[in-house]
Amino acid sequence: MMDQSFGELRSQLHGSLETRKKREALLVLLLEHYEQAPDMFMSRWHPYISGLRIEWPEPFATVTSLEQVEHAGMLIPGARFRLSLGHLNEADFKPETLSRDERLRHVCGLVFDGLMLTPLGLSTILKSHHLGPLIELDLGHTRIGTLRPVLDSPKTHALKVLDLQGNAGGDLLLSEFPTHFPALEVLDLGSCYIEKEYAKQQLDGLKNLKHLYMD
Amino acid sequence: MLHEDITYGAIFYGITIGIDDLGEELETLNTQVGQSKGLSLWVPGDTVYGDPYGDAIIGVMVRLVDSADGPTSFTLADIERAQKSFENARPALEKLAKENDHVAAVMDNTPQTYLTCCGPLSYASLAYGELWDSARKDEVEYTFHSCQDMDQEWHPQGVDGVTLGAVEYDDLHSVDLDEARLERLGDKVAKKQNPQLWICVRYD
Repeated sequence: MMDQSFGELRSQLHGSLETRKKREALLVLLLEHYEQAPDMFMSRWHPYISGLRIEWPEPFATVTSLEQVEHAGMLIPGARFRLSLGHLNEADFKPETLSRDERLRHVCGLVFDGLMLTPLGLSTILKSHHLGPLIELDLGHTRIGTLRPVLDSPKTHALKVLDLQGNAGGDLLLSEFPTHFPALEVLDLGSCYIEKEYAKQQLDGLKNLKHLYMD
Repeated sequence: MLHEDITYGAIFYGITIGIDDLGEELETLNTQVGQSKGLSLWVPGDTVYGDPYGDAIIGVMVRLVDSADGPTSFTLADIERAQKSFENARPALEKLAKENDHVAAVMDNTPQTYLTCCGPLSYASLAYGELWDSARKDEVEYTFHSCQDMDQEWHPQGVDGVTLGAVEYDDLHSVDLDEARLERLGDKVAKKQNPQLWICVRYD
């Protein structure tokens, strides 16, 4: 049975992990196997996975807590994840505490949709010594007000996905996007109520942009 | 949908047409669209106790929700079906344009998917999430979307999720949905196991 699972692991690792479904299937397999046989996982699977030195697609998967990201980071050495925190209560979301958490090293995507986030709070998180370059950032419905902390941070230069849904009336500084986000592929300005032609003019230099949402 | 005395929300696909200056010609347009195979006219807002104004839509219904219905789900496939139906109805639309100058003037408008509502005191929200008991609204993980009937009673269930858009009265909110965006919406509500698109209607 274990050999069969190991065979499945090898098959999945040597196949394409480009689709979200395949990555999730691999993560499920690892989670299940670790739960059933942690010793065997650590003695056989973990060295095998580490030895392959795979360049994992980023973010590898979505997690909803620092505990989960730590566990997933252990199961898939070297992979980085998307941390979704929109479910947190205001009282449980403390940017200062988050920024000091070393488990942020496993994170390359942050989803804050629905959380009340101040520019100072966001700046504190982005300045965390533990946080590496971000690939995705979701500031939907955060009432962030200004995007200055994002534009001032070197960690956001490699962003491919920026979600600003529901931030009407904010100072989004669109004219600075082409210089600061050269790799941006997806920009979500849904419910920001920005005039389409104006936005397109400001964003003209985003050469890698594949989809602009402005509904 | 014109002169509706029931509060509805809807996802509707089609082209917009300004109705501010139509006056009685709106009734003619309504009749003509009704006779055009595969097409219908959506006039948002309260057109029983108020005057129609703003933009209406000529197109195809994706999903119609009565305020008594409670949360009602739909999928990308429903939108795609409506898009196909609209394209199939192009000949009828072109015939209509020949009969009606107001329609002829908007033939170049790009068809889009809209969240909209009509009837008295109408409000509709578009959410991505899961059903949630209204009695437990204070325990939601994300944002609670309630549904309220014309007796101003809450439906036993609403939706816990993120908001893609909301309309009231004669608002039209264009909706741009694709698989990739649904995946991102899924990341926003990552605690939910089986999130879906929901329309929640309120008589407010």
